[in-house]
Amino acid sequence: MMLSYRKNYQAPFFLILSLSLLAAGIGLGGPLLQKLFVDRLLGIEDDKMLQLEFLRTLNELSPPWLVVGAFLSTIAATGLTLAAAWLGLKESIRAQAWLAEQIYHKTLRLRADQMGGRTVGEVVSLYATDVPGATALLDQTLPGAAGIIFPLLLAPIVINWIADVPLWTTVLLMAAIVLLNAVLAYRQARFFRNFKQLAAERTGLVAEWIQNIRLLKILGWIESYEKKIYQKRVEETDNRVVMLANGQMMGAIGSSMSFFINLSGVASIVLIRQGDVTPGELLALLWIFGVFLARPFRQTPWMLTWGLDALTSLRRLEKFLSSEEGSVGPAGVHVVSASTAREESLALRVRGLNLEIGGVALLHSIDLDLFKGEFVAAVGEVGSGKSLFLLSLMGETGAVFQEYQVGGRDVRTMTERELRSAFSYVPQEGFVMSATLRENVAFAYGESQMNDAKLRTSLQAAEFDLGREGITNGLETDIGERGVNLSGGQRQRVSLARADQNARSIYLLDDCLSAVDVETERKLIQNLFDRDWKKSTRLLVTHRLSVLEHVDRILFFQGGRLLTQGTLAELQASSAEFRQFTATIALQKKEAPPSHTQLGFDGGGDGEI
Amino acid sequence: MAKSSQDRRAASKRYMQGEDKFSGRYSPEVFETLRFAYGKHLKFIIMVGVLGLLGRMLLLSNANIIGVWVDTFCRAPSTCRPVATVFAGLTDTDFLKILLVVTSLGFVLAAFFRLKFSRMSARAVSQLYDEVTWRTSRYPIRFFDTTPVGAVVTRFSSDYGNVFRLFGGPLAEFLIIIFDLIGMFILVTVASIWFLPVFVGIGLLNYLVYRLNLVRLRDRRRETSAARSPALAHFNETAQGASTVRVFSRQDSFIQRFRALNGTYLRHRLSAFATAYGFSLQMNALGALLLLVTGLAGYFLADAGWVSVGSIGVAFTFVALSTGSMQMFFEWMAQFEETMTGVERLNQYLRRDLEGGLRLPIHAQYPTKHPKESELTREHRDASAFATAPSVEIRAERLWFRYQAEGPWILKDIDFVIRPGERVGIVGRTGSGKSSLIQALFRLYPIERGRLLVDGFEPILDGQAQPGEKQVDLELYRRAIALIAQEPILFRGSVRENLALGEGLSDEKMRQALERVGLTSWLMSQPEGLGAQIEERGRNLSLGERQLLCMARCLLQNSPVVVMDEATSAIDPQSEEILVRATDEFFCDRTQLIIAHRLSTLESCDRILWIRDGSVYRFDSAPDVLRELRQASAQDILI
Repeated sequence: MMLSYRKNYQAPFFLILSLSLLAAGIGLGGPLLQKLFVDRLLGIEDDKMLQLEFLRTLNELSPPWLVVGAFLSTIAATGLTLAAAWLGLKESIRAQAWLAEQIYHKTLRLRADQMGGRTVGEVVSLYATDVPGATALLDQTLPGAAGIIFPLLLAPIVINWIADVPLWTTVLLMAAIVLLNAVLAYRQARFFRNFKQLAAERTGLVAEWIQNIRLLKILGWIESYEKKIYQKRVEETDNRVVMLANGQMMGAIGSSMSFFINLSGVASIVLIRQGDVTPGELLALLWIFGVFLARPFRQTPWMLTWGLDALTSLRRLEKFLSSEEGSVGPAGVHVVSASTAREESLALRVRGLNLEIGGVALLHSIDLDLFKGEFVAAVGEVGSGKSLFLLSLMGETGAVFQEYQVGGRDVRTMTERELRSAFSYVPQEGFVMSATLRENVAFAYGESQMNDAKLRTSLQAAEFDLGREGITNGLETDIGERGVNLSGGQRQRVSLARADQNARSIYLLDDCLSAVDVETERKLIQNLFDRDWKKSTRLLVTHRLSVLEHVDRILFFQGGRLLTQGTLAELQASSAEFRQFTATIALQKKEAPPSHTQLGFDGGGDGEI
Repeated sequence: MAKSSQDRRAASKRYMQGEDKFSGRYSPEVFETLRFAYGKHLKFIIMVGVLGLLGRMLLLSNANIIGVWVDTFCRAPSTCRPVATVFAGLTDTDFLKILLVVTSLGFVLAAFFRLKFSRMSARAVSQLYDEVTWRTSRYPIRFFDTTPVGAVVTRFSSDYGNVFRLFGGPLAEFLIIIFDLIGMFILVTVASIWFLPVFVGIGLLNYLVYRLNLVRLRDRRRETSAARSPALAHFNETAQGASTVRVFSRQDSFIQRFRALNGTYLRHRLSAFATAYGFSLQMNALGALLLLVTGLAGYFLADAGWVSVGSIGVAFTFVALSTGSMQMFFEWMAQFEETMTGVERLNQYLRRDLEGGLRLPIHAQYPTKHPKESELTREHRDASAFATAPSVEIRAERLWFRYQAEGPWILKDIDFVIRPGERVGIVGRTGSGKSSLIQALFRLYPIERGRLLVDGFEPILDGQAQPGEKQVDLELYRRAIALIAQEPILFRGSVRENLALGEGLSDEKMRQALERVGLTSWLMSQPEGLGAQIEERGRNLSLGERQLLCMARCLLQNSPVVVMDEATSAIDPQSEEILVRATDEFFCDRTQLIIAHRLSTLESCDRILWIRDGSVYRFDSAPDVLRELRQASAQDILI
């Protein structure tokens, strides 16, 4: 993945690297000029240094000019370092846009069964955490490391040349420190991963606690639940404290190391070279170690930590992006044999539909014909396969069909768009995005006001009356997470309006009445399902027995099989399982007239405890 | 474009108010909260602080020692400072040894401070978290009604996260930097008094640069996080509704939208970084400039013979080090300033009033003004003779109820007596007050007028007062009432936790309860038995299993009063059957209150309480009330 990225954006990498190298080189000018300054001040003639032509030339300058030179080289180095960092940042922002879009595209393509066990929250955290995490390689690690590595590499050479300290002493010592830092950084990155995990778990508990605070109060479990959060918090803090200790060690070593290196530099002059120490040497060393190397040493461990963390994020992103995909739409519909009979009245024909996700068989050999203009209900217990069946029809699951035709056409001859354009779909609990009501119903961002009349008609048909729902700003009203918070029933009705707006020949409705009250349900069936959509084929998953009296046919699912089908009367007469499913109460209901089975009121509105 | 600049203006205006608040300082409570957190560690802080300061000073004195060492080499007496007699006789090796000792000791002491202090600070901030948790749990339901879940959770996730992040490691780092600055101040004065004004000047100049950048830095940071939420929300929605987007072939529109939102966020991010880099650049430039001034000044001073060459070297190093330290100091400062907002937000949740009748747990330590559990209140609770019978009476006397003071009355002047063991159905149309009666019974909102008694007792609602004769602890009172809600709610965790969290019940008892509701075979099928994990909201269980588990939970609660809220419509016939079993079988010996929607349920009740517009319309034997209900329903009269 990074390779494909690098191919597109290679140049900036070298630019960032060369700028950093330049900054490091120019940065060395500071201590050099400072040494000349001090030597001149003390009246010392460093023969060795003055062997070099350009230093001799520099030495001609008066001491104040040497200081000014040191200043200029420091400023230039700072500017170049920042320029490198800025380029890295620009690059990182570009990479973030690129990566975020890759993740987004993938999310739009991945079928529910291909999420690889990831929850929505986990996919969102890829975008929220791992994208900026991975690109920290560009905006933090790359310029940071470049800024660090060059001073670290150049320092031993310059020190060797200035003060005659043997190369190996400095190199060995610095290598040891970098190694120690690497070990600490590796540990730190691991603690950091743990910490993120534990914090997420604790936040999960907190959300559950606040959401259910009523119940917890009623149960008298407040203190026990607090204890549960407390235990997680302690676990998190314990990990955090170890992480802190490790980080503080990194900090302590980083901020003291320059003193030790300085010491060892002086020691090597005194002990190894066995010669006289000159004040200029001492001061130059003090400068190099105290100033020039202080920051690199401080930053090295953090650079390594961020780098390791970024690599982890990068791996996560790569895993997600390389996960299997691409088979939604007709490609996701595996049809084995050609279609047989062609009947004009057929809206949809399915033979031998099987679905397996992660090795578990979820739908078994389903055969079904849906006729044009038919209103069909799918019932069955939770988890009996009704919703998956709906998704499979739209090519959303990767189900295998012996035979599948839609609108008289073999699905194998259809394009992805063609197959989808046969369906209008309302998911369970509805789907609402953070946008205006207009955009939600039209289902297009930036929808103009041109079609407002049409949109209003759809809303009305879906029993969504702006005034009654407390929508004050008309179609302009922002709804969703960042606007007016809609109730479950409102979300379902907005989704129905959207389905109406995007009329297709087959409506797939997944339990879209579960949160509307009895009266609204009646009106929706009467005015929308049985009037406006009369000519279309409607397949409604429902748990409401009251709906069953209105449909042409009932599909009864059990354990992933289409167990039986027929009208309500037929099923009650023929299927013991169906009778058991609708149970005693449903039968009682049949005895009384419909208006009496359900007293004409509902308690859903304020029954929130 | 115009809009965004307008937004920015409006935004910065808002932040300016935040700025006022900062210059006007945070409320004294915030500092009191910090004192709660750190106060008991004060001695410890001072002790490790002194060691840390000493350690850093030893490390810094390296430069002074080298300065003296340099002076011993001085061959131009005119520019040299006389070396103190203590140091005069020392050889190079001696200086080396001194440096080694000083550096090692400094390192050990500074590291000791960092480790000890950061650990203490992490624990102190965690304690703050717990204290906030203990209070938030006990806020009135009204608070949770009016505060979005997300807003509360944020305090415990990102606010706490931010506070912890800074008050853990960085606070130690920040203090080290302060120690360095103090050390430099002292050591630079020792090296030469002439550099003292320079040092102070550096501080002032850095502060100036900091003040110049502060508002801009903060604004950019906030704009960035404000621009991030829409992009995140959009991504979240897309992940949830991908199927819908695909079916309607709206991928292009969604991709465009995401590109726009993410682009806006990234632009803000770039601008926030640019501001931070600009700040850093200014600080660096200032540092270099100061070095130049020091060098030039030093040269002329040395030339004039006022300071020694060694001192110039030392001063040079100090200026370089101290500008670095100053820069870090102000960079951290900007972050701590930001984090204080987090402390203030946590502090808010530390100070609100608790629900009347609730007390902080005995392990709460912060001395806020809230009532607190004590051995005495515990004893009183344990000794209570409240609701010990299998079923008890419920009595309403001239009960008026509303959700908030000044709000409209929901229940008006209600009187009734429900006898022990009676099964009462409650009917009424939406908004008539059925659910409110249940809320009142659980005392989720304060009752302002009239009385509602269970077993002749009322809960104590004033945490401070001495309990009266027929008064009982609120939590104990609530435990006497079990609720079977429309929707079964389960928590993430084991079956054991979901049945009786922290009640200390034996596994045997739990198995018995599961057996009674008919979940034995289900339990057998779980390899981990009672330890089987239930996912969020119980989504790995069927609706029926969830309902039965909640029923088992109610059984284990063993409360003399059971309240049932029947589902509005036939969600699942199975659940109806479960409810029938609950009323006829599991809780037949308890006092039962059922909010009923079905005739069959009402038919099985002893009496029916018909509530109309917040008043008792009928409260009579079931057949009598049912007759009238049928008539009203048939005539389409809103009952």
